[in-house]
Amino acid sequence: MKISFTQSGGFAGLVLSCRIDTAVLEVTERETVERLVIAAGIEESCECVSETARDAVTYEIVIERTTQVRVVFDEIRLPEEARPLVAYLKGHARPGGV
Amino acid sequence: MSGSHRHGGRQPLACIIPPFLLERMAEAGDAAIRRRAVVDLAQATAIQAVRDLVRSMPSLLATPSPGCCRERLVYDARGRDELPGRLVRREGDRRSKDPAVNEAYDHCGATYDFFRDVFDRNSLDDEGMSLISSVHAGESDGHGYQPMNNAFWNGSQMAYGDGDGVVFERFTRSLDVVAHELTHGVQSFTSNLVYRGESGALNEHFADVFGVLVRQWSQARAATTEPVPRSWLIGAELVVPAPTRRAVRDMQRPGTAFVEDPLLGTDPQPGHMRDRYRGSADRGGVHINSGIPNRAFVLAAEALDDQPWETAGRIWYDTMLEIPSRAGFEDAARITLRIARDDHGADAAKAVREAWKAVGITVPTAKKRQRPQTAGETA
Repeated sequence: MKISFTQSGGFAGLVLSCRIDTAVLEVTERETVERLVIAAGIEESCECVSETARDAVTYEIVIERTTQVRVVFDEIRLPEEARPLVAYLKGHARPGGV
Repeated sequence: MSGSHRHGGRQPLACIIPPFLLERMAEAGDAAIRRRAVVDLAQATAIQAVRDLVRSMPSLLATPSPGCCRERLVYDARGRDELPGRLVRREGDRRSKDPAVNEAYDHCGATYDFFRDVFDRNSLDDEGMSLISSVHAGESDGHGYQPMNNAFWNGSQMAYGDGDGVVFERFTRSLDVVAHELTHGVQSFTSNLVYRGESGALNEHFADVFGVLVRQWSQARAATTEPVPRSWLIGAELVVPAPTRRAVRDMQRPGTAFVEDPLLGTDPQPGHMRDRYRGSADRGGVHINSGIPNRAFVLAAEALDDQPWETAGRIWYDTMLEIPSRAGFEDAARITLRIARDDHGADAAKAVREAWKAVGITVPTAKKRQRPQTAGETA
């Protein structure tokens, strides 16, 4: 499984990103990522952002398995169950991606 | 507080699956898929109806103030994401011991005063709505809460985080940040520029313009002797000092606010159309491409021989009131040029035209608007 993550927007408009390939992770780390992805419940592509909010941080997650799923949330509409995954990915994200 | 809600109304799993996909699923052979698609389709339709209603009638989200004049309400979110939180200071209350509360209160006051004194505008909706702020907003990581590393306008109020202390300090520190967020509120009652692509970058641009003008105006008003040197930085008080960062944005020199910073990278803002961002991040670069009109505004303001909030500020304010919600940069250039020529004369029009040209947007010479003829004149 490959995961591409891009954080953008927010007042500062910073763009941070990371790409994780579970095939190259150690077993415990791979299991952690797989557990977070399952818990996040991301099974279908969707875009879920507030129409009225301004300066909210936007998260884009692309998960490649046998099929590809792309979801976009902002911090206001981010589902509770996806927050641990986003927290993990934010911890690995670095400047860049523009 | 019974009326509070997470960041103003998060709806877990209320994702919008494209309607065409739902409609296809609603015709599926599998009964379970069909049932679920029909339910989702109904929910999506209901959510879209609410979105359309709020977009066309933002007053639904406004909280009127008792006297239809300046009314500031500051809440403490206490590190959580349920807004607004607990009311800690309202209009006329004495100062708090909490600096974030006082900053939100004072900066909201300065912004209200600016729009009232300079443009005769009574609050965000021009009808005196209350200015609601939540400080110490937090964000959940699924296990607990962290200080929010951001500030935003959620459609009816402002929310400010305390920052991570590594890159950003608390977001209430900068007057231009607070005024930026409130200008998003003004726009929701006026142009309501769609928050994506060029129209979204214009939304960010107007918020930066009036954010910086509120600060410059407030500093000039407070100065007793020497004039304060003019700065076009956004969020200078917000960033934790480091040699690689000066601010969040530089309206005069886009792309230079932070350079090769290990945590921020390099400021991605372009200052010319040839360098505009064409990707999908940041809703099509709303905080990135705003550097282009930002630089045009600074060039126009600096070319005029009065204070930036006077001629240039007036032209941009009038533009913000009338610009269509799906406008692009060329529309903004055309409208500012027309207003400059019609209301401020040839010198102002020349300054505005050359400013846009310098960032790669050429607008044909505007014809002076004809006054409508009266019945007597046509006879």
